[in-house]
Amino acid sequence: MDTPQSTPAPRTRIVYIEDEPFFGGTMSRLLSEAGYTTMVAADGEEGLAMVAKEKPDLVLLDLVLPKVDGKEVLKRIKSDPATKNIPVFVLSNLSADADQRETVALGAAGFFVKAMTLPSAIVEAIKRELG
Amino acid sequence: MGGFDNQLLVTVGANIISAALILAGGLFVLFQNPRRDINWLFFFLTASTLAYTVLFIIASLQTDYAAAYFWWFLNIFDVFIAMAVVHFIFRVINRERQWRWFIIATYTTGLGIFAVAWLNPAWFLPSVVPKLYFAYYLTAGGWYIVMLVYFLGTPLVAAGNLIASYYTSVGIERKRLEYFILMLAIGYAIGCLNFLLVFDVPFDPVFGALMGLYLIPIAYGIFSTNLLDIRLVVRRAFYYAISIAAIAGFLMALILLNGFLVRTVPGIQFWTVPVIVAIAAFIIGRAVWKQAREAEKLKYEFITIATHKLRTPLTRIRWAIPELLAASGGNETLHKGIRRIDDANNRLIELTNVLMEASHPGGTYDYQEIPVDLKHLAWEAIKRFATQISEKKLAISVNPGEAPKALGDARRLTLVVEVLVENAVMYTPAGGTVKIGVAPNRRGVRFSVADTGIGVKREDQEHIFSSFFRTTSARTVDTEGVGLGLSLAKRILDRQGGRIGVESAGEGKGSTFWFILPAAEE
Repeated sequence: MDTPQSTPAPRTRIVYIEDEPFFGGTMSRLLSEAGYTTMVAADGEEGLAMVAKEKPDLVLLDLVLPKVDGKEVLKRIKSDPATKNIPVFVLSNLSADADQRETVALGAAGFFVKAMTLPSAIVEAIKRELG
Repeated sequence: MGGFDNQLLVTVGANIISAALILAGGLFVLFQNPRRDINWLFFFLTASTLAYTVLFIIASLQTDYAAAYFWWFLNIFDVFIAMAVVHFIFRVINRERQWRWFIIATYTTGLGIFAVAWLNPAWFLPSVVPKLYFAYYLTAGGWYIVMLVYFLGTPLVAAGNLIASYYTSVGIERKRLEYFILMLAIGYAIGCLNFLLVFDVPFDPVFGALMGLYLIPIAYGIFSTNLLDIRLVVRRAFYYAISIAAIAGFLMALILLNGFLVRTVPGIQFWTVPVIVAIAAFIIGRAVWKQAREAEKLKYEFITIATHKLRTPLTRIRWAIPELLAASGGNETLHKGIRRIDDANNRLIELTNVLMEASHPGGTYDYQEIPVDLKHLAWEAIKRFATQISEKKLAISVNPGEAPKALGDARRLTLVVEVLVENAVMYTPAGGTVKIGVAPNRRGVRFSVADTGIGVKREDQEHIFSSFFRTTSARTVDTEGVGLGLSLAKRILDRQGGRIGVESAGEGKGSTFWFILPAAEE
């Protein structure tokens, strides 16, 4: 990954695009305990704006989202040269293989089915991804 | 078609439709799963009734005495219907082994009657004579009556067993048998109408042509697969049958119409009407095909949406559990209670997976083929059911040593392994033993779960992989189960060229569920 590894690290920042406040809240609490700063966007449009502005180190992305659908968000992040190198983890409750394949093909770095993964496991995966 | 009586043509036409229906039904069932012998038995049944119907059609069109005698004589083929019915019924109710002698006796007696008739045709059919609108029809010799007694008697024994089984069966099995009984009743009642005229009862055999209807209830019964599928498959079978019958009728009408138009309207070529009809048929066919695909997609989408809606609140519960556990501190009661909520919730999540998996019975999604470590999956499953295992004080083990990896879809195999382990845990009484084995096998890798649990009765062993089927003892032990796990496991393995099975010495004697998958090349 070409994420900056500057030594007196400004805290590593994560944008979580998720319309369910509970999931957003739980994840940001756990991530902040792990030393990350998390910003939650409640819909696809807001998420895209936040990613463009903040240039986070990683994006967590739900698929079923208001305004702009998750797959579209992923497509736009990956087609913008300024954001295309940011790793994106898809967190969804759609578990069909087609969705998984499609998002991975679009450039997602990981796919997690929320119902089948504990938030702590997602935090572990993020740690591994960000090194 | 000059000299034929109109009534005769109606009877013949109706029988042609009936024959088409029988043929379509037989082939349809056979191709649903040509590897199952019950489907071949059903094909034997349809082939014998088809032969009877076709021979009836040919015989009724004969105007020459010798030809008519020959074709009507072939009515002796009825004996094959009885053989097929008897064998088929005992197979359906799983009493083939106990009634082996009777099935063999039915075959030998039938063949005996058949042989005697060929040696002495006059015993069977003294002569053919004009009856009603038939140029010639059957008369009954002594041997014809022997054949009839055999034809009606032997299936009666089998039907008695079928009805007895019906009264002792439950659930989906009972429903299945209901359809078989209905099919036999329809087939026999209608089929026998043709005999009345043989004995000079002036009953029009046109109604005998309705015999093909017996296929409609049967389509329901034979598919012991998923309930969702049953509905779908039956609807399809029904549409096939109806469309083929309609096509047969339509073609006849078309030939008549074409002949009429070519003769009366100047300028119309013999090919004009068929070409127009072919184009119309193509357009209609395409529209119907699209409609059918659309319906299939909608069904899948509906289940996907429903599952997604269910999963959101279930995920909330799951995600809240770790924090609740941490907050419960040393409070043992609270801790235990939260664990139970977690287990119940995970079970519901599991059910959403099953629903998802069951909603697309193949074709829609690819299966991956990657090396899968079945031992790892076994340990994962043990971890998942750790609470129940420790509560029931089960001794659970996985055989030590290296085992080859299997080739398959990891996510689906996780589900299969979980189903087998969960069943073993669920249906083994406290203090029992569960042994998981992964070992090379000449077909690949064999995964097995052997327990000291409630076991499976011999007659249930075949049905246990059917959807919504649950053995009586399984119902008593666990009232929550739905009977989908094993059928899903079977489906997943079928899709990957695997096999699944069960061995059990009987009720209460434990059971070993196993599956075999191709091994991954090392």
